[in-house]
Amino acid sequence: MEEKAVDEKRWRELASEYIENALPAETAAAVRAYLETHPQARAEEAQLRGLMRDMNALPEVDPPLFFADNVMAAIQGQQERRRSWWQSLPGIGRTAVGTVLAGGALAAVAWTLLVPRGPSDPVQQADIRPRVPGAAVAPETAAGPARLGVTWSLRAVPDGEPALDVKLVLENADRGSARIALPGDTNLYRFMLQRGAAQTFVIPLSAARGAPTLEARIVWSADAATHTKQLFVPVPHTDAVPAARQSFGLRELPLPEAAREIAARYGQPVIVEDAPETATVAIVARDETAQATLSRNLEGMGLDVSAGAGGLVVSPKSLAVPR
Amino acid sequence: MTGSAPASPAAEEERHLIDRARRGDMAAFDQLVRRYERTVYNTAYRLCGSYDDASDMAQEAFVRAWNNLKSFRGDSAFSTWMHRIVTNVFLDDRKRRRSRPTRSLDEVIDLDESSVQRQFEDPTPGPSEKAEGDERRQILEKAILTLPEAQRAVIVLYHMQGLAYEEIAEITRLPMGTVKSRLNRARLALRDRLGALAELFDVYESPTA
Repeated sequence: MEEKAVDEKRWRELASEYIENALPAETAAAVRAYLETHPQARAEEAQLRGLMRDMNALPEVDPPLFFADNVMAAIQGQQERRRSWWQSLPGIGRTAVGTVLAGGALAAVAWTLLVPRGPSDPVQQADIRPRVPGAAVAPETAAGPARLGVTWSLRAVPDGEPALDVKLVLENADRGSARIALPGDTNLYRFMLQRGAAQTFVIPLSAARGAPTLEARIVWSADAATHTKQLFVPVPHTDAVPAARQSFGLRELPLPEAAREIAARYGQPVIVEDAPETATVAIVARDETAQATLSRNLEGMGLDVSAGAGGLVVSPKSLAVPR
Repeated sequence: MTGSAPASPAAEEERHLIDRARRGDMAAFDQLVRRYERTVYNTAYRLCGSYDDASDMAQEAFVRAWNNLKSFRGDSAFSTWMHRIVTNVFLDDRKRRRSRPTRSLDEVIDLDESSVQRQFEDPTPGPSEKAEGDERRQILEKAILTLPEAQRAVIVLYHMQGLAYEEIAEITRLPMGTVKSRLNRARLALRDRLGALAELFDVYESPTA
């Protein structure tokens, strides 16, 4: 059968198969004839060949260090939580659960026998996904959305550089991850998080590079949601303790910079959580504490300012947690 | 198994590992993770373009695999099964992100000629071949990330994971003809998007005289 003439549309439909020598001889000849008389299509063919070659040559990347260890730790944690839930049931509870499960199993068997079905696809079951990613089987009631607790302490090292030990603890979620960026540091520090297990990272005092605050930007994820926390911890110094109430005015600044200024002026740590980083605010303090200053100036921005154990926390009003 | 070739020692060993893991042997599953971490991570990375997201996705894929080992019956290769899981993790993640405000895809790549000009208006002596290759690679990587997810998946599985059409069809549960046409459309889309920059890529000689 004679191959119909190739036009631009037909050339594009057949392009990959032509380049891969997968066309029948007659069809390939028709495509070749088209390319010989259409320079633009021939250029397109050359570019496609180049792209395919370049894509085949894209290098592999290394998985993160300890990736496999982190995977197994996550699985181990999941197994332990399942065992812990089962063991936490009183004997009569286990009997009750076992009875329900057995009854459900009987019902499932009866359904399978009585209701005709089409052929099953065993591979499809790989798509089974937990209702909540990473959630344990345990029917524990979540005490609210996932939270990342952040605490820190200044460590004075004899003959060494003082440093800030920052501890992260994931709450209300089984697992998550955190990425931490420090100003002036090209590294991005990554941690896997598990419920209740602390992860610690250290910010040396020299990271402040003469600035009045030590800072870290934490992007953390859990339960399919991503959040940010920016820490501004005043660098300790031997000057007089900053006054608790102050009066001053700042030009309009992006919110993180305003938080840094407040932390430096009042000597009080400030954490900004999930707040719009591009928002700007002009801070005016009228013989006020740090919390009062921030509360009043951020009032119209839908942000809440609360005092926590570690310092002041600025967060969207919907996220504010009573402390 | 009448008529089939005997399994190689490596395949047999892997089958034993899978059997042990299915019975709850975490040490056996640990060996499987270490065997496939690189390929699963690379698939995740090429799909999402982010080292960190790839780490999360790849871990999620292995956890799902552990939780669903009993459903793996060996009809396909374990690697094929893992590729399907990590592809599903990626697609699930994209669905979730679409339900939340995300940054514009326009931020991923800026392919107008002025941006390219900035890359080449370097006052230092001309870039080495390696630097040119790196820039071309980065442009290509970014362009791949602008493809629709379904096209991106077949591009990654074929070109970066080196899988055959049959395997991709099994992973995506699509007819082979659909896989081929989708791959063709993805390649053409890349070529069209990079068309303005095509002159910056080497001219690959067409065997067509």
